[in-house]
Amino acid sequence: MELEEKVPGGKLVRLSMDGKGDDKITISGDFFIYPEESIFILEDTLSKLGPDESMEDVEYALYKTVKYNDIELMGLDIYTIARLYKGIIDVESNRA
Amino acid sequence: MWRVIGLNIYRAAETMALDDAIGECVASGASQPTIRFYKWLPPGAVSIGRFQRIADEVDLNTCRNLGIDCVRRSTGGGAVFHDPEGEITYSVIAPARYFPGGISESYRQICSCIIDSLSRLGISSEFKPVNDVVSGGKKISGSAQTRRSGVIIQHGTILYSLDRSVMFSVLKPSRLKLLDKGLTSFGDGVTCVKEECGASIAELYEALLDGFTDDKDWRFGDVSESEKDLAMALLKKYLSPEWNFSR
Repeated sequence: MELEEKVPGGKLVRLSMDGKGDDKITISGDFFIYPEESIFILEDTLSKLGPDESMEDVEYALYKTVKYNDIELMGLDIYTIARLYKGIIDVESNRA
Repeated sequence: MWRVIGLNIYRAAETMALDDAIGECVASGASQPTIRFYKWLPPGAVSIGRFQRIADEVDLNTCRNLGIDCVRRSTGGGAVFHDPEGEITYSVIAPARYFPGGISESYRQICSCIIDSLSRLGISSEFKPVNDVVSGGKKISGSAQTRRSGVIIQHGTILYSLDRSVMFSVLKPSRLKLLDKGLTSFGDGVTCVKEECGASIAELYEALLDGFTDDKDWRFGDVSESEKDLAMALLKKYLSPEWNFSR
């Protein structure tokens, strides 16, 4: 399943979860991340979250990841990523 | 002293590998800071951003039928159709200290060369963060930047003419972007030098040369043998499905 959002004044962000057991999360879109390899750290952060994390917890986990790894986001922000993640988790929870 | 590599024509994967190779050589001090201009081998190519999924952005069947190459860039940003006669592409490869003030500011500084170039043709334009130059609210140039080993590699296109039918037959931009911009069609959101003034592509090139080199100490130069060798080694990455389909 996937959700997408256009960041106001920014770029398009898609978040997808493959749902094949390992719940691999992919963040894609036309944004910029510096350094580029940090995308995997962000995806890994989301993959390690439990299904019951609150929006604030998700945002805080992403905030810590960005801050401690010196990641610069351009055209996207942690709030959009968190919102898309929670959106997918909520849909998946309702399905279960 | 800057090196300027004049207009050449490349295949998509070749030009990506060459930017990386020059970047490595600038980082090691073996090459001078470089500005290069280039066009794309007919029938053109699609480049996608580092974080895009190729199947989301590109009509691969149409590309295959038209013989159009697809390549994933090392830089972020969006998918671009590179029309061989419809654009001039540039790369600026230099130590990051040449563009102080952070990443956003370096985009602004390098894009100011484009704005200057366009003004030499009588086209008024402005920088639109994150990475665009717009004229009359329509995109006329887009850029993307990566940083490695203290070196900036920023490349981008300046649209000379537009074949909107081919462009939007190979690209699949999200409808969300259309809604966000308040447009009825994607073609309405872009413009080009030819539609803004009567300049030829040769005049655009001359303006870009002037706009990018103004206030710089520079000389024309060629790609060095070590850059060529390195680019050849890096080419495999940009031709590989593992890279191009990595998302």
